[in-house]
Amino acid sequence: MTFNGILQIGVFLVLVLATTKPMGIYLKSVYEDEGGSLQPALRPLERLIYKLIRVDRTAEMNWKQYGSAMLLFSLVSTLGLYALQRLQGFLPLNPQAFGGPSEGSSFNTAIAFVTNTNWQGYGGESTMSYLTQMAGLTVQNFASAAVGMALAVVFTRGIARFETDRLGNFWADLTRGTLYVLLPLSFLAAIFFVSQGVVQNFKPYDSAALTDTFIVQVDKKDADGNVLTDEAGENVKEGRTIDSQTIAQGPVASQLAIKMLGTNGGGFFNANSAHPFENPTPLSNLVQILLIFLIPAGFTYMLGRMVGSQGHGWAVFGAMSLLFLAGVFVTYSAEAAGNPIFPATVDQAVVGGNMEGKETRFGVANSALFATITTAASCGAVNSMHDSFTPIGGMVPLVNILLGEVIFGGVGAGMYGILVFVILTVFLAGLMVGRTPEYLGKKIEAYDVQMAMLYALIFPLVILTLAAISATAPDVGLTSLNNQGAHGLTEILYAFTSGSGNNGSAFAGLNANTPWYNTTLGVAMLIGRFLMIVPMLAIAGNLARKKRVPPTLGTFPVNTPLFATLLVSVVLIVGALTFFPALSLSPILEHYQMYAGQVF
Amino acid sequence: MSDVIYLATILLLFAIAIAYLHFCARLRKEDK
Repeated sequence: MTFNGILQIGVFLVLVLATTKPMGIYLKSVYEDEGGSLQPALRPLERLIYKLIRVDRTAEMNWKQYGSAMLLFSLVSTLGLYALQRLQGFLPLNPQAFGGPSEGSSFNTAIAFVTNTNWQGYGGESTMSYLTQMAGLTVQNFASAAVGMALAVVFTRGIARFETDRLGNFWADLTRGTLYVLLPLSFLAAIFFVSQGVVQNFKPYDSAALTDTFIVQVDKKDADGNVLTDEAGENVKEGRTIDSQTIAQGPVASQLAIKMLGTNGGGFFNANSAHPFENPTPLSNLVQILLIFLIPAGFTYMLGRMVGSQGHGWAVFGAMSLLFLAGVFVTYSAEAAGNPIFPATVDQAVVGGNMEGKETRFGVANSALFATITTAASCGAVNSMHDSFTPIGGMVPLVNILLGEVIFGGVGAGMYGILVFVILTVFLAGLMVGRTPEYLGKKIEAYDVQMAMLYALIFPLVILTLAAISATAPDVGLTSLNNQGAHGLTEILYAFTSGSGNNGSAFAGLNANTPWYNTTLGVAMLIGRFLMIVPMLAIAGNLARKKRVPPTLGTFPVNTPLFATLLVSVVLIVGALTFFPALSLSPILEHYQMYAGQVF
Repeated sequence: MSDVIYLATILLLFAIAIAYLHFCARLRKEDK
């Protein structure tokens, strides 16, 4: 590790800290309808939207009504996005004349974008029309992020309110989050990204002549386009000279802004934020990673304000920061140490460590930082290939997702995720001293813990079951692998972890655009999103009904470093107990095999 | 045909989520 690298990580943390309070204050003013700074200008538009969709913003819902509205909205969004993809060949804004993606790919992508996962089994620039990218994928980037934010606010209201079953109006929360938070910030970010060189146009793709042509071997075809085979049944090959390169274009900046701010992560281009048109400069890289943490960090301050205990908000922020710092320094040190397979005569320190799969304009430190942030926060954008990280360096992004993406987490999803862990922490603290656990003036009862456990258990159930089936299914699961052994298992485990955790980043090395992976990952994404939201909403509804219990000497304070430390311990212990066996067979085993000279 | 299967799968999965919501609500009533 270098001083320069550590300094860049430090600067990033300071910037996150500086934005947390103002963002938190703004979020509270938006969701509590307190007249945020943009309300005078946008209020007429907000009222018009309510009028058009016939919603009374003051009519609050109970948790079941709120959850049903959210599920209905998501169902319609999924069906609409599926149809848009399948029909894109007949629709405008398609200068490359792309046909519709396959049924399986459309199913997978529709679910991926509605669940804020943005898993991409396709290459954006070679599959999706501009209309699909803008009216389908980008719209869902906004909508799915706004849904997550609304749910975090509902959980916070559940903690803050007493003796009521009303938690807010889903349609009003959805509208406010989009109109006052996501749209204005995305607009500003998109303008900034254009200034850095991110493209924003509707032009057909350009073509550039290569100065250094080369020949590739491809399957030889007859006049009808059928692949020719020899007597042994092998495909006949022929050389093809590559003398030009396609330069993809498109409305990239507008999608990029919300991709980062909404922790969506789905790239306009297949190479995502490693592509020079999607992340051209170190400054654009810094702003991208700041946008990922901007709203999730702000939610911790909003939590403190809404529940009347700013110290609790900072304790949650501190726990998240501790987990984040541990992750980033493990990744950075593993990558900076380089690859031991190289002969001693190769000085990897000259380039900063293991540079395979990384962009030279970002280097090892910024690649490690980006990888840790994007997986801590359920974003899934990448500026380097996680598959090319060292086993321990690649394990941290995997572990970040396996811990439930509560280290700041996705917009909203991280907040309600960590609050479920807070419930478990308070419950365990109560068990330790033999008292009924209390949390901010509320008794935590059996139903709250039942729902918290449903939330915590569905996640490993989906990941481990589907990964185990895929790892033992030679015809459908293993044929997609580029690497065998422990590394191949990591690729499968990462895919289902990323899907179920609604992260969406790909470890790479796994061809997931197959009927098996498209379907199973689609199911995993839906379960990982909605079957975790339902018990979370049930806890919120139950908390809001409770009577206020005055604090006593036996009440465990939730605004202290001790609480933050206990919260970190619970997150780590739950994650470690659940996933350590799987991790020991994949990246941990691969680490020891690498030092024994074996690679995959 | 595959379109119908995938659309039906989406509807089924959301139906399961709705049913799960009612299951969780019912657990609370039984708990009380």
